[in-house]
Amino acid sequence: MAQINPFASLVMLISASIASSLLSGYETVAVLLLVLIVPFFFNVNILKVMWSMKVMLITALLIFLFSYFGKGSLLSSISESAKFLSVIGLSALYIKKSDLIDLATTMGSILSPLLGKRGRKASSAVMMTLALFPIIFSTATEMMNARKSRGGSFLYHPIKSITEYTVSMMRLLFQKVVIFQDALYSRSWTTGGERTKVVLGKRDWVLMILAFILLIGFVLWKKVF
Amino acid sequence: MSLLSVENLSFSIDGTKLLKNITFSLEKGSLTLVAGKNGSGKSMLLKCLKGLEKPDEGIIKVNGKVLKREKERMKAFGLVFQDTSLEIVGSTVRKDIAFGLENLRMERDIIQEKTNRMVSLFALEKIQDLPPSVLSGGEKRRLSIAGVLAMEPEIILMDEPLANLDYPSVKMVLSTLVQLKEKGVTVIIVSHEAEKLLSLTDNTIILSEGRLVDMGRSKDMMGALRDNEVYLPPKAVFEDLTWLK
Repeated sequence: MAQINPFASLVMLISASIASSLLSGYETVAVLLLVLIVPFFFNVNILKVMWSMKVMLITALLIFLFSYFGKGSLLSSISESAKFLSVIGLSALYIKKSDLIDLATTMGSILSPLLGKRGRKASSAVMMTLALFPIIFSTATEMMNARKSRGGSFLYHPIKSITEYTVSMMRLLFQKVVIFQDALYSRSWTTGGERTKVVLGKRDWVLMILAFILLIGFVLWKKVF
Repeated sequence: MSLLSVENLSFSIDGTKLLKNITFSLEKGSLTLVAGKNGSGKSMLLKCLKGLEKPDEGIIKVNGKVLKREKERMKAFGLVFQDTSLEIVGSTVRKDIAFGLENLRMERDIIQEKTNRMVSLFALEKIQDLPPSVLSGGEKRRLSIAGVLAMEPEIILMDEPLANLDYPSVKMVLSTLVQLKEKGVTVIIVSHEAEKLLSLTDNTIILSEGRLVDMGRSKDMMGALRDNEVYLPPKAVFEDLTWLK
């Protein structure tokens, strides 16, 4: 699926989050079952997707356990876990389906009327952080492999090994961040600077209106029934 | 009149002089190689020209106009970095080319037009919607050059454009350099690999310990390059010093 305008994605994310917070326990379980079953009809390997989200699944499991042992209600605990997964999943989709640079530009456009230049600086910081994730992961993996190939192991003197590794990695990362920053500046990017606004296409408008209509419809349905 | 004129450019960090009174001038449309050993100040020269570092002293003129402010140098010079993985930011080839133009707050239709022109110029049509992560080394380098050229700087600076590239990718980049030269673009290249591109260049500047020790037409600089420990194949003829053949 082609990229969606970040503003449209944000509207859909907020609508889905509001709808999700209004769901009752049974409704949440029904939605969760739909989320697990529907992908089979689109040849999506849901187990593979879930494995790639194992950190979120572990967190959801912890939420379930704490809720269950705290409140004693199985349905309520499942509901809370499911809501967490839906919000995090939608947020991940929002980031994945929106271009990183467009995301930051749109955030800046939304925040700048409220916070002025600070709003755009905040969005620049978000963009830098998201852009640096792949660099951080590749640097960390490279260093770990280099150490392993020289017989290094984190199991032997773990605190010393991890400290050395972290310090070396931070030093290397700072160097890469400086080069990255220079590369951005050399293409006239500035922290908090204004950029050409991201355009909303027809499909983005349709998705936003649809999300809004579904949300209003859902709220009314909840009130009536 | 020269396009670029640099006079007495000096730069130091913590009291250590990294560039000492560099003076040279270049004609429009020329392709210049800056060579020298590691630590001779080649990359620092590019950073000072680009405005990423503030020189301690010196005058930089482009088209007769003194570029006093960092913003003026940022606009006049385009810089292609050695590490393309840190330079390419777009999620697709087209988006990366458009990145610099969006930073300049150009209108969307002008961005579209300039991006289309770069895609066509660098034959990126087949890969324009692909993520940069799947591109080869040579394609990434071409993308970097396209992204910089889209912003229409007066002079393009390249830091080790042939580093870590295989033979086909080197040929791809060299073809791009020839293309730029034919279009009349002024290019300054920092490279250790003189044997791969010397015969494509018009001028050569040699730096050593931050000083400009020699400069001249590339065909006359082979001896000077060897004297300054820049590798050239023994008994090589100037015309053979390119991997484009």
